[in-house]
Amino acid sequence: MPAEAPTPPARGIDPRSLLAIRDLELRARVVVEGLWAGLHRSPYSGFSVEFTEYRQYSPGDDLRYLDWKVLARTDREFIKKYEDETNLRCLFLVDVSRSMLFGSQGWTKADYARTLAATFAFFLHQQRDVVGLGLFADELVDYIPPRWKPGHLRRLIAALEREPAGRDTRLGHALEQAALLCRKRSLIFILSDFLSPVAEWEAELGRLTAARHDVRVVQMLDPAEQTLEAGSAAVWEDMETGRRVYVDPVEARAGYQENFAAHQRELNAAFDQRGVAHQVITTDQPLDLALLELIQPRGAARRLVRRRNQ
Amino acid sequence: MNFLSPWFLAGFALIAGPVIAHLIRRVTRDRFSFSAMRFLKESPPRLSKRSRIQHPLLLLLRCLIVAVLAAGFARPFLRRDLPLAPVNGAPQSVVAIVNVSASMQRAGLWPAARQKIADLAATLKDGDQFVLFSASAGVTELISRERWAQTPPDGRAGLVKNVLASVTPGWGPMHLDAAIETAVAQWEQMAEATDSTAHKKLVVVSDFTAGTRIAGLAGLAWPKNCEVVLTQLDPDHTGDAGLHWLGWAADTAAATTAGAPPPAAVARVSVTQGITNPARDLHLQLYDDRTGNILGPGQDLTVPAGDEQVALVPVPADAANGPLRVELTGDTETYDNKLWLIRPTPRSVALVYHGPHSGDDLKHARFYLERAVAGWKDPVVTVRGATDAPAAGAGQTPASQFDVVAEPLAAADAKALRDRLTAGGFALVLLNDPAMVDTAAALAGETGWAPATTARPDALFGTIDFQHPLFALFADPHYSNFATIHFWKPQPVALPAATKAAVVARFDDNTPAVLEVPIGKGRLIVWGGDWSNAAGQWVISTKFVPWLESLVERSLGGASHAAVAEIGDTGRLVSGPAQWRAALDINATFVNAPPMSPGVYELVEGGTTRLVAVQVPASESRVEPIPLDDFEKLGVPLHANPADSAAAAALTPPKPSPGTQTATVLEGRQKLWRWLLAAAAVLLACESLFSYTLARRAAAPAGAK
Repeated sequence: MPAEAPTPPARGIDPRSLLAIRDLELRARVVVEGLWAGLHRSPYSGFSVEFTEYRQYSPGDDLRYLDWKVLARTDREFIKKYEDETNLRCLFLVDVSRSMLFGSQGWTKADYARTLAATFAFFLHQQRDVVGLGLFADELVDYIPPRWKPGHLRRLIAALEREPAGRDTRLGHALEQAALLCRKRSLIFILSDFLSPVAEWEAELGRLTAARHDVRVVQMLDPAEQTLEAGSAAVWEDMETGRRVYVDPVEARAGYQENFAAHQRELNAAFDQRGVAHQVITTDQPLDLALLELIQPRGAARRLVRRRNQ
Repeated sequence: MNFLSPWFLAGFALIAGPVIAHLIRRVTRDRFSFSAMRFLKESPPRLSKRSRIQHPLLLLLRCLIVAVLAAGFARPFLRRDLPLAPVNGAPQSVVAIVNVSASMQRAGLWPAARQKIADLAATLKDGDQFVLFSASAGVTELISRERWAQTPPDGRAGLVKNVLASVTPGWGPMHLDAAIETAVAQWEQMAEATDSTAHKKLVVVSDFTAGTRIAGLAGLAWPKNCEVVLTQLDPDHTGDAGLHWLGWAADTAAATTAGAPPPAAVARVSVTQGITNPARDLHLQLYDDRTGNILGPGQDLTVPAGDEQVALVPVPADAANGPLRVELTGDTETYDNKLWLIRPTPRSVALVYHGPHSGDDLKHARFYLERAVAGWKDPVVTVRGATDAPAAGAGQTPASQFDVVAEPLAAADAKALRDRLTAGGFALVLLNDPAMVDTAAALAGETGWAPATTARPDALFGTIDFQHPLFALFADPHYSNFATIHFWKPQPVALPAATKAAVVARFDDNTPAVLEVPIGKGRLIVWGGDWSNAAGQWVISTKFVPWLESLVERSLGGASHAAVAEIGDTGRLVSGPAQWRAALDINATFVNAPPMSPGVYELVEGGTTRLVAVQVPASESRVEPIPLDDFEKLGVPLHANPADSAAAAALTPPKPSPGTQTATVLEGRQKLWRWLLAAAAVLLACESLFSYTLARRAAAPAGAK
């Protein structure tokens, strides 16, 4: 986990209870209600600004921000200083491939990821931010561009509620399609288990960051995927490829954990190299705490809010 | 522990099944879907020893279930209980009933019945008691208990053989209920003579046709320690066609053939066809029973199986007035294919009215007599005056004469009438005048009769002797009310103390109203009053005509009975002592016993003789086997189904092992198989629970979705 992640409160909403709610919108509302108002900053200067302070005009400043009323009253030139906070443009890319259908807690990673995306979208929509959605497996199977209009949130949630088709994962191809569709600079959340080899999607992720999108990665993992505390000596079947192998988890656990840790290290290296925030969320975490982790401002290098002094 | 069906113990070999199943290493068929298979390596499969038994407790349960089921099917029993069946040396009371009804005349039945009885007798031990009955409409003791006991053991088989050789099936119906009642009574006698706790066995050897009467078994009280063995006999031919009497048709036109004179009479008969009878095409023919001549052309009949057809048999006009016979041919079994007929001959009576009155004067009795007897079919009554000559051209002279005296008779006439009475005649004197009392006294041959005066001109009957034949017709309380009949001119009689006259009815002032005087073989009835509407309401009451008819019937010797009866049911034809004689056998003599074979008989009763046709019982033609379950429904303690090999073996050689029957009874009483079945059910429930627990435990780690 990133070092700057806030310490989660001791208590949160039990995911078992939350995911027992069948209606996804209601689930999102439950999480958002009472949540601390989001601290979010747009990476792009918008047209709606919020005044913070005055400063003395100096030659060369943009006269658009000169406070003419103050000039008329006091005959002194002041420039209004703004902080751009609104009109966050956010795009959720949610993995709906077959590997996301694994779950040892009674619910799957896909359930959790869809709930998380819906909750976050609901939260942002309440803040009048524009939110978009892309569902991907071997390609981008569904794409709703970021908008803010009545009914948009319902459309997002309806897309999320759709049962995943269950295909293979081709993360690189999906990211490439998303980059082509999302031209404007946006905050992009990628919700996936990132179990595929890094080399398959590393270049496409780099293309997104190169397009000046603020990309944040949420790696959804089942606790059993971290520890292999699941199953019994049986024929294990790969959910993506259908390959069958006899596995005794007791015997295979040590090797698995080693391989998995190596994969995680490789992931961290790839994300760090491209300045992508990486956050691991397991499906047994309370969902509201997971949401808090996402919206908390990070360290200077990964701040969501970019101050621009006028 | 013993087993009735020990071959089922071979089922223990099935225990090998679960053992082998538990020895075989189960190849895992569990599947587990996982998402991060990329980081997994295949585990080497674990090998377990082939000899290792998986879940030994479960295996034990399964083996127990198989073993308990096998033991249950083997029908175990314990020898420690006292056996119900007699052991060697314990005497038993055996009663055998062999059916000798008409249906046993079918081919193959009687030899088989004799053989069954002989086989039964051969199985009896020296100390056993044995009684043999033959049963039909009545029960005949063929071998008594004493005779059996007195016969040396080595001569008993010969005794049975000799007795049965002299017996053949008769013509009567089978009243099995009465026969079994006799057998039960016989058991009681046996119990009194010897050990009352001896095992009692009743063996019935019969064809058990549907016509067998068993209804009387319903309320029969069976003694303890008894069993009934029903041994059913199978005839050589299945099915039978029967011929039965229905009656004389009233309309002869229906049977008249074109161009032929109308028949003298038409008999209506029924032809029944058995369900399994292969013979379908039958022929009916009428014969003169006395000469054996064929009468009429005969009829071909095709009767479907299980059906009944009514046929009209015309008696030609030129046929002699004697007994007739109808025969049915084409049927394999012939015992019930003959019917005897007596042509109806209505009795005729001349009612001689002594008086000057005409039949058109409603003030006198003749008017009412003529109208009361008009239309009578039997007897046919003709009314004439005493001075009238018999009607010319009337054909036959009436056989009987009934005198009604309504005027004082001359001495000569009175003597002549009294002579007729003495010879058996009947006369009625109406006291329409006090002078008539003297005539009545003269006819009665007594003196001292005098007219008595009645206090009231309106009299009623006070007391009536309904036990007397004159008024027995109205003995039923429904009809015994005479209080509505008024007598306006009663003429009671004052009788002397010494008189033979019996007062049958008295007026309400207790004076005699109706008298009956026996005169020789005849009877004189004296009516205290006149018969006219002016004298009272008697002649216009509803009771007058029935009373007069019963009186005329009585003068003829009794009411007209049907001249047809079935064997075993002839008792309904007679009301008192009677004698029978075969009509066509010149050597036959009158006997008191009712006839036991079909044919035409002369019946003499009360001085009158008439012909009676005695038929084979219709019930004997119903030869379909009676369902033996019916006996169980009636509470008969059956030993076993006769079709059962055990029951059949009890009567047919080779002799059964004594232990076999004992074991069957013991097993049937103990019913240990029920407990074993319950134990198997409990074990099965435990096995299911245990398996479920194991399956859940095995599936618990799996969390794949």
